[in-house]
Amino acid sequence: MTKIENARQQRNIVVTVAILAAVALAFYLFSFIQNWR
Amino acid sequence: MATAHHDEHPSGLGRWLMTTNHKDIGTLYLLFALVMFFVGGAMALVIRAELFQPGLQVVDPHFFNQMTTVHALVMVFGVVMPAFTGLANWLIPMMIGAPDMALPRLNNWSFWLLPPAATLLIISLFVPGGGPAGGWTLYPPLSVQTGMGMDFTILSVHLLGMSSILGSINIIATILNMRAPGMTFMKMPMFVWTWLITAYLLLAVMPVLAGAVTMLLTDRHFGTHFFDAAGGGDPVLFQHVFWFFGHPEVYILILPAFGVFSQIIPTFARKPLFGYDTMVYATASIAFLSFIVWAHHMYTVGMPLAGELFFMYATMLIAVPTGVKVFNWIATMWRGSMTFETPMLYAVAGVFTFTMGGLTGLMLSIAPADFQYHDTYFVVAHFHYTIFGGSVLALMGAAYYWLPKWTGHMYNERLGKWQFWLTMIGFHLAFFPQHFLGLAGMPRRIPDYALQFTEFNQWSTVGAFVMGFAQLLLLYIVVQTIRSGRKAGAKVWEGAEGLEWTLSSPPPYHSFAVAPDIK
Repeated sequence: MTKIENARQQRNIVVTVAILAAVALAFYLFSFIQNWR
Repeated sequence: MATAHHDEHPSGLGRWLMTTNHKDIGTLYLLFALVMFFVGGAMALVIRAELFQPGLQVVDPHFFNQMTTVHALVMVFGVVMPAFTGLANWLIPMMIGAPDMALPRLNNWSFWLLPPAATLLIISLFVPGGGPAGGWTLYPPLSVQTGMGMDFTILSVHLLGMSSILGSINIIATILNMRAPGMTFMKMPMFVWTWLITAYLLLAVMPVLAGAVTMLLTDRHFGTHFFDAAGGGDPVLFQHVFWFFGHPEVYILILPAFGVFSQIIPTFARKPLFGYDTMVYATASIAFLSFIVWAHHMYTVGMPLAGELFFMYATMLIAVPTGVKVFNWIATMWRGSMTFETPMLYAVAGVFTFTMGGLTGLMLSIAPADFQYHDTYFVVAHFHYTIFGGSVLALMGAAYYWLPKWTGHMYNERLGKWQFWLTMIGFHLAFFPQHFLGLAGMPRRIPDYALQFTEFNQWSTVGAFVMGFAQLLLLYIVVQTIRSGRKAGAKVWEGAEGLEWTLSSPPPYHSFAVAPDIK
């Protein structure tokens, strides 16, 4: 794997993790919001 | 990554505490699950010992209720989920031609959250007021009113959830970004596919469970009334939030098992998996449907008729993709050159037993009929046929199938077959009579029962102890295989396909530092 390919893979992993963490947080908050009335 | 150091092979306690190696972490998960299997199994035997005859003889009712609750929590969160995560850790990088997981340090943390979580759960049994005793579903108002053991449980569930969320992020990031060149999505082994879909389920629903138990905690200690009718809340809302997690959760327990069956059956039928594409779509369909069926667990709370009908029909729909999978496994075996080594016995038995559990699930999905079955032993029989008969049998099959790959030694085939048959006889003896008990009206989660239920309960208890004994044999076989046994070659099984079988047995500490060629 070249240096550029490696850097691209690292960047893709970081982006994937950021999106997935945001989804998990959204579901956590969602479980409260539907109760808050 | 590509710059892995080949000579690095730490040893001692530090190796296990600080490891970032997917194989080591996989081993840790599997050993943890095995230990918890015996902890949860011992609790099951306490339950069955008490139920051997009517009246109260072995434990007091409050402790009995703690046993039913903690047995379930241990088996779901401490055994089946960690065991499948262990398989994922060991196998996914090797199956997709990656050198390791995408986030190895996070991987270490995901595992090491588990022992403290399990410790909290177990010591909850020894604090004033005892452990959680209202069932694994932790329904309020009971879970708001019980002692500090519930706080231990809530913290434990938070830690277990964190571990699962981090693990699933890692698995998705690995599968999306670390596949070897040429390993397209539709070339991935089914086990990898089922885990990818399972990881998405985990990511969506574990935070919801965390939300539910956080609200329980604030209701208990911080003056909120989420689930308190007297304060304007609603205990039924907890059930909705819980089962929004809980139903996908049961698919989290079974989808990786489907992946295991899809690896083992083609190997021993010596044919490629029939209907690979449809398997992928069926798995995704089951995952999608799992989000819109949760209220079938609570038909009896008093829902509008339209709600009951929606959840009933949606639940019945799940039988379609599940049927596709079962037919595909049968078609894979059709006219295959089959042999029945222990992993294949477990896979065939698992498909059969899970299908029995699936059919009783279809019976339970019928709302008017469920009013009769609800909270009876019929439900207990149903979910043990799916979780033990599906998930745990798949795990045992997987252990026999990949143990030679992991350890470099063959297990003892004769003992493996004994262990299989003892487990199966014990299992069916323990759980088949429970269908009749439930249909006759015996409620679940009770330490005592009416006289007419005695005989079936006695069969059930004998079966449970046979099953328990068979697991001691499993332990012996695993230890024997690790310590000795015939040397296993790279391709342990004649019909096995996949990248993990191109590596030596045991595989090198760092594998696929250079990406393999994918045909």
